[in-house]
Amino acid sequence: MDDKIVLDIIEAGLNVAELRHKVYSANIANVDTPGYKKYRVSFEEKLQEALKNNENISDVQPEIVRVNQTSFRNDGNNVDIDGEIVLMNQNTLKYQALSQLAQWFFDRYYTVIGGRRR
Amino acid sequence: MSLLNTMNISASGLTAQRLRLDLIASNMANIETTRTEAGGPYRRQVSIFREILDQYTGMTNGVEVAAIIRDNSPFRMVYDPGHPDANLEGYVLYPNVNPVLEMTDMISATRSYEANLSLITAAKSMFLKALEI
Amino acid sequence: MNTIEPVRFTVDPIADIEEGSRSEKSFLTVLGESIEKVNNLQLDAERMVTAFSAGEDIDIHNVMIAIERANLALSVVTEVRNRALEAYQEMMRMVP
Repeated sequence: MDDKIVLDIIEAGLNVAELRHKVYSANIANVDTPGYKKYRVSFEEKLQEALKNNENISDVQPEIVRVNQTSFRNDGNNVDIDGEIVLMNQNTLKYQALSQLAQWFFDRYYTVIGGRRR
Repeated sequence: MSLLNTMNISASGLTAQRLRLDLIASNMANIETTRTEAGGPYRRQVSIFREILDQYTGMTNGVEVAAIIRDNSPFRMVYDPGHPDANLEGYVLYPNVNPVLEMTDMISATRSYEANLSLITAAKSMFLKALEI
Repeated sequence: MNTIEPVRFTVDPIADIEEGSRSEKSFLTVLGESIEKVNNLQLDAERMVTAFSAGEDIDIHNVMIAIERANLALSVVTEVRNRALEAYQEMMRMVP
């Protein structure tokens, strides 16, 4: 198990959330594009695999994958606009929460050292 | 990829949907146009969307209007021999624009437009939150 | 349902600096190494800020975290230095 401080995990989480927002942006931009298949970010499963096998978690990278499932629409597009917006909102909240946690991390140390963070 | 750059993807969505709405507006405005400059009645216009892919990395980069084409479905024929644009058989050819279809399309385009807008709003709030770190 | 084992975090940048009591290194050596680490963090932060300002494709949260890492490390080393100085001055006062 790699020695990681909480901050590195938080930062990795922020990176993934950022990538997810890009994917949602692309999917929504192409919600009316004929034949378009949505993208997703694969990360959490890979991370859990790495944790299970006691691998180095800093080697786990998020990646963008294409979801080629058949759609229920005539134009071959498999983006569900409402579902996508909900996922996007959840992701945004997660990013904001992680940002808050990063603040918490730094605030902790300054409490011990004395002095102000800002 | 930074949030700021990601907003460009949503911006491309806004642009495409705007163009789609403009065409719908044009179709609706010309629903009774029996005589165009090119001759003949107005033909319904349709936009074709296409995903933009970065030419070097193949990464997705938003959406664009690949082409604006004319709908090839037949014109509406109305029997009206007294009309100045009536043909030899007494029929006037009206544009192949169906107002119900256009309205439905307009609602869909508006919804897609707003969805893209919400992506930008979200990106903005994320960015501002990160600044507080 | 499988449960996920909590991840254990054992490395702490602060503990690095206080490790002098356990190892054979002198306080001065540890302080020197810490200052070098601090300097590297400052350079990292500067690099990121420059990249962001120049319009490179870099995430704002990475920039902010790099800046705060550097700030924190600097504050810790500064505090250690101050405490060391105080202790020294305290000792000098004891000399008749």
